[in-house]
Order: sequence, then structure tokens, then C-alpha cells
Amino acid sequence: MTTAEHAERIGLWQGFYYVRRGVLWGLIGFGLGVGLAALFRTAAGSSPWWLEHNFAVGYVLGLLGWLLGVGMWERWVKEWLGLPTQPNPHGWMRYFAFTTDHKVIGVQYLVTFVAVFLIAGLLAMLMRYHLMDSQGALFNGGVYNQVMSLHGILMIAVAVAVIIGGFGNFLVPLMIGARDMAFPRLNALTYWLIPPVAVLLLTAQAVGGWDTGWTAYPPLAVRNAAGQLFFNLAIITFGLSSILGGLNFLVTISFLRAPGMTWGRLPIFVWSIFSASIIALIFTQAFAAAMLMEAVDRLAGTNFFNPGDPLLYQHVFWFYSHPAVYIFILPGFGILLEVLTHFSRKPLFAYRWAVAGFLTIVAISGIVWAHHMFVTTSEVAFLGAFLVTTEAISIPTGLVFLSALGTIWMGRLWLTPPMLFALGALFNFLIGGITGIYLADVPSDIQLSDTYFVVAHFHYTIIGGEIFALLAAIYYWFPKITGRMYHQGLGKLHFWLTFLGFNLTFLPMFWAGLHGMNRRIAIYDPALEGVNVFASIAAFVMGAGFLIFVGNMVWSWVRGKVAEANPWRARTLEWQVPSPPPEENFPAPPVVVGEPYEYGVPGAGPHVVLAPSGGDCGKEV
Amino acid sequence: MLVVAALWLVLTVLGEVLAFAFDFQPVPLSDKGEHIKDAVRILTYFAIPVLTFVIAALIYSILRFRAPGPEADGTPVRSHIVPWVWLAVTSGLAFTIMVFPGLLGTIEVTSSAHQHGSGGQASARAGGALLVQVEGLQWTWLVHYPDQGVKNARELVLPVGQQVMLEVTSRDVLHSFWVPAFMLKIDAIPGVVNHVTFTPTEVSSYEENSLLRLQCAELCGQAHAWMVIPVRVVEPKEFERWVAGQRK
Repeated sequence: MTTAEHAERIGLWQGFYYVRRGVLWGLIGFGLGVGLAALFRTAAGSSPWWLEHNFAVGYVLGLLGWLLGVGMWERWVKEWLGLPTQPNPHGWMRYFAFTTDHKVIGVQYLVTFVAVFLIAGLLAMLMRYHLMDSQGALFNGGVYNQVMSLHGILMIAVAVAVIIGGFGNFLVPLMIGARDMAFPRLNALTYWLIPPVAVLLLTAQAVGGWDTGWTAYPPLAVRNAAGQLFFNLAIITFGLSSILGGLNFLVTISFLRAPGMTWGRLPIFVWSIFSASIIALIFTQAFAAAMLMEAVDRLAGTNFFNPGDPLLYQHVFWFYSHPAVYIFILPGFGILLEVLTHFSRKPLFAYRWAVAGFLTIVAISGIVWAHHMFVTTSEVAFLGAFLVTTEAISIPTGLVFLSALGTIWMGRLWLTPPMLFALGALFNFLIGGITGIYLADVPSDIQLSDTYFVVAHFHYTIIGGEIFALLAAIYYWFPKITGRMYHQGLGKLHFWLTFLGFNLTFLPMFWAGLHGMNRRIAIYDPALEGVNVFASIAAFVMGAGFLIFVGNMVWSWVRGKVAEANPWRARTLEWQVPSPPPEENFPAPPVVVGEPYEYGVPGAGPHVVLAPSGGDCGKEV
Repeated sequence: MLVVAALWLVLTVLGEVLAFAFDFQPVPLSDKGEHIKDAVRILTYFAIPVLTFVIAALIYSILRFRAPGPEADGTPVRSHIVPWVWLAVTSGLAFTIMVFPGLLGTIEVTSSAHQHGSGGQASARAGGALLVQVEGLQWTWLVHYPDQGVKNARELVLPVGQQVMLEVTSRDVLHSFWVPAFMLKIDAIPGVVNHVTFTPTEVSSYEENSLLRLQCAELCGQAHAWMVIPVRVVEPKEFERWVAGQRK
């Protein structure tokens, strides 16, 4: 293998060439921006230095420098200047450069966001330790708010990007029989916008951080430390990445499907990415706009929200941020149904109903945002309207459960780690969904909003639903991505520790919320200390499960035994190519000739024909 | 199929009996709180059969249909009628809870405060409601009783059985008025006055019941968790004495 030879020859210093150059060019750009801002401020007759002005301009130029340095220069910009572009680097070096291969980008996303997930999880462990004492065991109020805010935004970023960015990128072209994404360079850009986001969020802590949670409500967000500006710039950058990613998926899925891959034969996971991408493309812009308005309030003295109209911010913010939860969970539903059908050895039940469910969720998601604002007013028309739309969204969500339960019914359930996680996700999301009704109901929400009931509810949907689905996906596609197999027993142990730890952590939080524990507080009513200690211990068990996960994955990736090409005997396209797939995916364009999930159907042909022998098929392509 | 139905029935009966017999919420100390507690309870009665249906189907499938490997395939199931029935049942359920406890409950808990302008408030005032103004600021609450001439009190004292009309606002950033025992929450927003009308139903105090506290429920900065003042519900005569003491 040439790849292996390269891997041996590339030294560490050389391997990180592009990252090193990106950092250097980024610093140059940053210095230039800081200087320009100082010059402008001097010309305007004020002192040359004000952290927020200098930093904002420095960041914009620094971001450009970083992107060019990390490889956009060779593989994109040179072409505009009429110069020859250079091909993707090889070996492990390609994971640390601006590279257009969708599989490399998928792995970059996946590894980055699993790492971010673990960091944010560690912060959660610290918070759970702190809350074992009702007067707070670890932090003062300001630091607690900062840690909680950082935990929140890191986890939100993971939830937005880990499945779409990771598995979406790796799998969608493979599953639809395409050579790559529609816009490979745009795809690379969406990933390389992410490291500056992480740098901003972490350096923000050095200038006072921000303590407004991930929601950044003004007026507080306009008045507090400079860290808030870093937060706003980070979110705008991250939003840009999401928007471009969504666009890329919509175009790819619409136009690059292999011959015969009709919409009705699309794997359900691809449908879920398609649905989530519509939301990412349309609604993220509102979020970015809200952040921009807040940043301009700070930088340029506008008055959108300070005092302006703080409620306007909430409307704009939730106009994205509620649909965003469907960016989280729709790909989770896709994985869940995908895994259930392969490991039940049965066709996906009510496939078209599930797709209709996804698209109806997308449609309704845009008109439910104000259920986050039920306690901002007593205006009954407002409350009633959003109660109705929010509860209506339970109907299409129910169709996903119909499809899931119908699929496992009469199946042959092979309880591998991915199947266990998929079943666990179904159970957790059931609780997350049902408790959502309590929060959609205005009277009960008056008591429950902003309490631990909400904390428990959204962790059930995001961790219990989406992250469990993510873990199912990792255990399912690990042999596809790495070509190696992990230890199944450790995978099952991870499942049980996580499943029990998770439920025992968050079930008691419903109780705490019902009994007067509000969220985002560093100290609480001593009467609730017992419940909190219990939840904390369970959280540590869950955390321990992840240590096993990381150990198992890292060890297996390096030393694991080589996996069969199709260890799960799955019918879908991505399993019909070698593992890991070759850079060009398919030697010749594949031809899709049947349904993806026809397990046990008498007389069913294959889903796909690879390297078609007849010249006709080739011509068609 | 019969086994799942039986399992569902047993779990549902068990769940409903538990939900009925076991009081999983604190005692509400206001009239509106009663409605809110009822809403949570009614939603639970609706939730249990849904929860137990999925759990019964899951448990049965996992036990009954498990297999050691991918060698054999399952039996394909196709149905045109089941999805339609499912859609009809889930929609029926959703529309039911939208109306009750949803919309009907919403009208109840916002009553006499739901009309913007003067209509609702005027009627509450005409009915002899006690006007109390609550102001949030980083990081405490100030309570004013304009008709009694009491300003800047640092505890919320209310006469039992007397209708109260709250006017809630903020001096700086967002806060949220929350008394867990009253089960009432309304945001305190700078430049906006929010109204809530309710009646405290029992004499008690923060010392006796830690849920009788006015706590900020909207993240408002460093000392957010400490933004708590005590609440006391007293006999009308005691309230008069307290007012007289405050005026001095």
C-alpha cells in the first residue's frame, strides 16, 4: 500500500506542515487586523487600543490567514489567480490539511467533535461534583456560570455537527453512489472553519469568559465581559460552516445520486441528513443574525437589544434554535432506523411514512419557537398558538416510532453494540418526547420552565436520543471507516454503563425540577441535596463508561483485528465497497437496481450492482 | 400480539394507579398553582399509556425475537392499515391534550391578566385585588405596595385568601419571578411590565416551607443563584401590622 509507505515516511514536523502554516498565517492576519483597527481608531481621534475593536478586526483577517495557510491556498485560491492547484496530501498528513476527500473530512469532523464531546463531558463531571453540595463544592457563582456556559455551547456544537459533519460527510456520497460531495472544496472549508471556533471559545475564558449560558440573552450579554464578543464571533463562524454544509448536502443528494437511486430508494439515513440540511440552510441564518446584532450592539453602539427590545432577541434566537434541535435529532432518527432495520434483518417498516414524518417535522419546526418564551408574557393568543403548533409536532415524531416498532416486530434482533445503542436511543427519546409535552403545555410549563425538569428533558432528547444514536453509528460504521473491528464485549459494557448511568443521572432531575430546583444555579435548596448526590454518582458511572469507549476505540483503530468487508451482512451501498473505501469510492459508477432494505423478501434482488459489466450502464452515467 | 396487549394493559394499570395514589408534586399554595398541578397530573395520566405501549412492544420484541447472528432474516411485515390507524390515534391524542388540559388550562391560568391594556387589570383591581409591584435587579428583589405606601421591602408578604395583582419588571437585565410554592413564574423584563393575578391559599412562610421563596429563574449573572428573598403568607390582620411596621 502506498498509503502505508507514506505514513511511515512522514515525520511529525512535516505531517503538521499545513496546520503549522495555518497558525502562522493566521497570526500574521490577526496582527495585521489589530494594527489596522488601531490605525483607524487613532485616525478617528481615540486611543488606538480597545480590546473588542482590535480583536474583532484581527479575528476576521486572522481567520482568512488561517484558512489560506491550512491549504485553501494550494487547493482553491491559486486557481482564481490562474496558477496550478496542488492535489490532496497523502498518508495521515491528509487529516491535518485542507483536503477535499469527503471521507477524510468526515473523519476530521467525527474525531474533532468526539474530542469536544469528551471535554464538555469532563466539564459536566466537574459541575456534577460541584452540585453534590447544596452550597456548592467547587466554584464560586461566576465561575460556575462560566463552566456551565462553556459546557452548554460545546455540547450544542457537538450536537449540531457531529452526525451531519462526521457520518453525513463520510456516508452520504457512499450511500448514494457518488464520487464525492457536490462541492468538495466548500466541504473542506466547512470543516476548517471549526478550529477557530474552538480557539475563540477557549481563549474567551482568558478575558472573563461569558456567563450567559449558550443562549446569550441580552441585555446581560451586551453588558458582560469581553468574552461575550468572542462567543458571538465564534457562533457566527460556526453558523457559516453549518449553512454551507447544509447547502452542500442538499445539492449532493439532489443531483449526485447514482443511476437507479430514486428518492424512494434513498437509505433512510440519507433522508434524515437531507431533512436536517434544509433546517441548517434556512434557519441558521437567523441565529447568525442575532449574534451579529448583539456583536454590533457591543462594537458599534447600536441599540437592538440594549436596552432596545430584549424579547426581539429571544424571538430571533429561538427561530433558529428550536429548529436546530431537529438538526440534532433527525440524523439521530435516521441512524436509529438504519441500524434497527439491518439488525432486525427486516425491511424498514413504513419507510415512506417515516420520510413523511421527517419532512413534516421540518415543516412545523419553523413555527414552534416561542414555546421557549411561555413565561415572558400572559398574552393568551400568543401562548395558545404556540402550544398548538408545538404539540402538533408530536404527530410526525410518532411516525418515527411507528417505523421503529414495526421494523423490530417479527424481526431477528441481533443484539450487537450498535443495536443496543439504537434500542437505547429509542427508549430514551420516548421519555424525552413525552416530557416535552409537559413543557409544550402552557400551564405546566409555567411551573417547569427554567427548572431541572427542562434540563432532564433536553438531555433525554440530545444525549439519550442523538448521542446514543451517534454511538450506535460509531459502533456500526467503525469497521467501515477504519477497516478494523473493536472488542464487542467492551462495547456492550460501555452500553450498559452509559444506559444505566444516563437514566439514573437524568430521571432524578425531573423530580428535582418538580420540587423547585431551577437550572443554571451554583447553589440550591438543601432539601434537594440527596437527589443531586444520587444524580452525580450516576453521572460518574456514565463518565466511566466513556473511558472504556475511548480505550476500546483507540486500541482497536491502531491494533484491532482486520474486519471483514461487510461484517454485518448489510445490503446498503457503503458496505459493498472495501473498508476503508478507496479514495475514488467506486471503480466505476454503481447502478442501483433495488430497494435498500429487502431482508427476507422472497425473490428480492440486490440493492446495487457494482462495476457494471455491460457497456450500456456505463454510457448512461 | 396478545402478549404485548396484556403486558401493555398490566403496565398501564400499574402506572395509572401509581400516578393516582402517589403525589409526586409539592402542595401548591395558590389558586393558580392548583390548576398547574392538575395540568401536570392530567398530562401524566395521558402519558402513561403511550409510555407503556412502547415499553411493552420493546420488551416483548427484545425477548421474543432475539437472534444470535445475521444468518436468518426476519419476516417482512407490510401493512397499509396500521400506519393510518397509528396516525389517527396519535393525532386524536395530540388534539385532545391541545384542548384539554392545554388551551382550557391556558385560559384559566392567565385569567384576569390576559387582556393587554387596562381591561383585565381594571377588573382585577375593581374586584379589590391587592396591587404588588415586584422589581428585579442584579441580584435581589424589591417589593412595593403602592396602595399601602410600602416601598423597597425585601420580603414578599401577602395576606391569605386575598387576590393579588402582581406587576413584575426589571431595572437592568432579564430576571424571572418564581415562587415554587405558588407554582407561578413570569419574566421580569426591563421596559416591560408583566401582570399575574392569583390568590395565596395557606398561611405559611419560608422558614416552614423552603418552596415559599421568591427566586430568580432567569440566568442574570454572577450571583443569580443567590437572588432569593423570603415569601410569607399571613392572616390579614398580621398583614396590616406588617404594613404599619414598614411605614415607620
